[in-house]
Amino acid sequence: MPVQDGPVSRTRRTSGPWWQSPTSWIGLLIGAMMGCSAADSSTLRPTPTVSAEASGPHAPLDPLDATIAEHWHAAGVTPAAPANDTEFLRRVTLDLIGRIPTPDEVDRFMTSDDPRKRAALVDDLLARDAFAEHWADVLTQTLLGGAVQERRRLREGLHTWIEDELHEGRGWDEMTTTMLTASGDTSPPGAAAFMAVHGRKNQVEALTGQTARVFLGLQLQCAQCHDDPDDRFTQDQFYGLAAYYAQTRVRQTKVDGVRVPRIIDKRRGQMRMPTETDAPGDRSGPRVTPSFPALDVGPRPDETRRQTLARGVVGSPLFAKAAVNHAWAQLMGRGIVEPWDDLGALQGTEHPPLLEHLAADLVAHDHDLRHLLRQIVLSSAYQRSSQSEAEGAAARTQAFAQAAVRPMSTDQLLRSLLVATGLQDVQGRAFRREVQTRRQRISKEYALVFDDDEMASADTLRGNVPQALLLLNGELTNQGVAARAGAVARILRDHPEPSARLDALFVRVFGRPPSAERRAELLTFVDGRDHDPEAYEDLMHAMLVSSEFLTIH
Amino acid sequence: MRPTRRHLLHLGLGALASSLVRPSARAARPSPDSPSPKPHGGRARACILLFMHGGASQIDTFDPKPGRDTGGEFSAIRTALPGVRISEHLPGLAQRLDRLALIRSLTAREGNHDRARYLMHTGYPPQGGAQHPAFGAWVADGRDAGALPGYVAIDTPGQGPGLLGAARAPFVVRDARRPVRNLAPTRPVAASRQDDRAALWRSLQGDFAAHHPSPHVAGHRDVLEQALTMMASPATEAFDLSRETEAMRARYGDSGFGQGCLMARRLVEAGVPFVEVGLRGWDTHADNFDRVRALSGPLDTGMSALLDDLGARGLLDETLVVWMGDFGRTPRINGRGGRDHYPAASSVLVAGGGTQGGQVIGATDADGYEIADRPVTVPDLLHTMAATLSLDPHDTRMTPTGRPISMIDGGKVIEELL
Repeated sequence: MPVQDGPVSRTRRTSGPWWQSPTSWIGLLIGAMMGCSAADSSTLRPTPTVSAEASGPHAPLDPLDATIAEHWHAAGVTPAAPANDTEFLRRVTLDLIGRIPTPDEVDRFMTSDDPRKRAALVDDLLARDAFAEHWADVLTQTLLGGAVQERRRLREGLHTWIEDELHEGRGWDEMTTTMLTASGDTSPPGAAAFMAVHGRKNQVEALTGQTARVFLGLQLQCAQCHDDPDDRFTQDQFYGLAAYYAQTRVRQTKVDGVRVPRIIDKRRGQMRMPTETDAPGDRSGPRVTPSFPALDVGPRPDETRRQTLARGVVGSPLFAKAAVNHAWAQLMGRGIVEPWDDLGALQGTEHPPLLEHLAADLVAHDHDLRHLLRQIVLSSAYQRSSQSEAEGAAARTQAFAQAAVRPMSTDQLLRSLLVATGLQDVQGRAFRREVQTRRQRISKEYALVFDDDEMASADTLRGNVPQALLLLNGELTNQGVAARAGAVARILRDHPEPSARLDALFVRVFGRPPSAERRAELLTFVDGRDHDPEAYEDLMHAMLVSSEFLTIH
Repeated sequence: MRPTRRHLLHLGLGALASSLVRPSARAARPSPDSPSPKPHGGRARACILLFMHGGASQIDTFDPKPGRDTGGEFSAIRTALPGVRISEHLPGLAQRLDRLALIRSLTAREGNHDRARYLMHTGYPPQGGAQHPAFGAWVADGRDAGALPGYVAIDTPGQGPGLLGAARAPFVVRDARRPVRNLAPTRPVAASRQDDRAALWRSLQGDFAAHHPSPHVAGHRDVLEQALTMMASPATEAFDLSRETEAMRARYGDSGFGQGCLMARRLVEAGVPFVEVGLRGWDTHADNFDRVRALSGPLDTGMSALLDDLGARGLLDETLVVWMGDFGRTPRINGRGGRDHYPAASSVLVAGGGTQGGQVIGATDADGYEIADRPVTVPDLLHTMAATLSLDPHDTRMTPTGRPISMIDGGKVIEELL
């Protein structure tokens, strides 16, 4: 994808790269920090000079950061050092647009001396097409679950619709209402995918469970068969909620030879409770009237049951909390309440002030997801370093006082591989389209996700040996490092000096130059191989299969 | 005093602990502070789990109800056990029932596929964020499989390793009938370059790990090291079914499941302690009888061949074989000729590993709705499997954040089996 000109205003061009420029104090500091050897743990101590506090957008009394500080205090942890600029740039680029930064983007960010450059970068990223594309990936995955081949068209429809909605800056409340009330043939077909996938074969229980989970962060599934063991929900409450779908029928219809979902609201249809002797799916018990537990949602005469439900969902205090907790978990590795989709009961559960604060802020900003993401990525919690000594790291990470090392999603990995290897630029549009169309297959191979009758497993590279073998020996990595006009070839052509070649390779793949010590060692290595281009290919291969490349950190 | 494994685990030295204490030694010398001594010293050194993905209908396989409304279309045939009948479509297993223990009274509460698979693989219902390891990952954790992975899952995703880390994640083989993928680069790379790549990776990975204390980073190192070891090892021949004779391959049947059973035997022979073989397609909400009939063929052929082959090689005594799935299916037949999810009652088969075959444990009532005798829970089953494999059922590990998690959720040994 083309690198757009961001609003970063004041950049300074010098003859050398930013990390060598004597006038770039940031570069010097980063270089110094990266140059620290593993044995020298003192350099891992907080280096507040390059801090979010110094260059970030927040005054010390920002209410979100104050809440975060209390959260740390309550957890009894001392926060890790602030993230340095290279850490922040790579992390936020992956999180907002789903790939690592290009060398140009690294250069531009590192040479900027704008004191508000992190905020400017975030605004730039949020305004890009790639942002809508990446967050459509994330939300589609959340809404529909694992990759299932037969539902490809529905998935793609939903993805396109979400992308458009994000472009338009539509609020999450409006998007949710559209999805819950979609009719498929008249509304954009993509918006109906949630209903069509979970409610297929008129599985009212599955649809109810997913509605509660995705939009309200409630785990109601157990209450389908029996009262929740933890006394949080009753079976009556579950079927009261399910009754909103009692008049809904999920069908498929052919439009121009293509099957599209058609979701119909009938005038009649009652929900009944299942009895002890009913088989799952059968309900021969008493009638249940629709009711939204813990919320008074009186039906209006002119609306369908689904419209009433949608009003109840977006009006629930849990709606914004679920959206916040989901986004937080995406960006921080775990939810403020973990897992993100288990917020407890419909009422009476106490949530951490951090969740309360962000949820209130989201409501105050019209459920604008961009605003929410901006708040989080510019917060003092997100802008922690992921580096520290081992001591206390787990506790700090759990309390969001140190950035987690997170696996990439398959989409993030594929896009990042294309950037790192330069296949993106080399192969042109046709290749990119080809990758797009093959993505389903490739990501299936990477994620080792199995098709199933119901939901498949989560789409992340949590790590296993088949994935490692695929990375080591698969086409994309091997083709990528050896591409005739790929990143290695270009670096060798542009930089005659071996040390400049190594620096360029590191910036390309890791978004940072090598430490002085590592550079010296690698120079010995390429010397030993007579500066054979294949030596650089081998180095890049090793970089691509290392944790530094494969994780968000 | 020589440090025991448990002491080392408390110190977080799990790797050292498992290298100090070999499985055989552990069987002979149970940890001193375990709450109750193990009643049975199991002799199994490996386990093959046959997992019926989707949930097999117990009434149409091993718990028939002939003549009842719930009985369905199939008739029940005699077996090697007097008075015990199973589905007519499982004639091979019927002949071998004297070598198998049939549990007809497994009962659980999870009726959703993902939740039920989690339960069946870990012994725990899924609960917010807890990292229970798959039983197979736990077995793999205590046994050295050399260059081969300790937990292999064939045509099934298996279940994650939880807190035991990525190195214990199942090695997934998608289709036993095809060569395992990516054991060598798509385009050949000289051995010296492979060595350089590995050395470069180790130093880069080490740089990053030194500053990033994260289980994810350590897990990636373990997994990649394992991949590199596998690439360099001839042991991966265990995955290569072309090394078997045509006759042997034919005995197992040409289905993915049958060939998966053959691969499982090869892997166990090569020292892999836990192999899971999946058979998919049991989620028969509609058209139950045609589908179960079609699935019974590969099941009957593959599992029969596996039992015979393990027996002939003298491996059955040290290999525990277990057959189970997501859950059972409703006795009631729905309007689409299907049966729906029914966790309340299902059947399990157990063979080998020193267990007592030729018996039926527990029973359902006349129509199959309720457990009529000897209910068995999932923790009971896993507890018994652990005892058979001489694993300490009270083995407890710490999560990175210091939360203790017992490897299985209590339960009691099914005495009849041992």
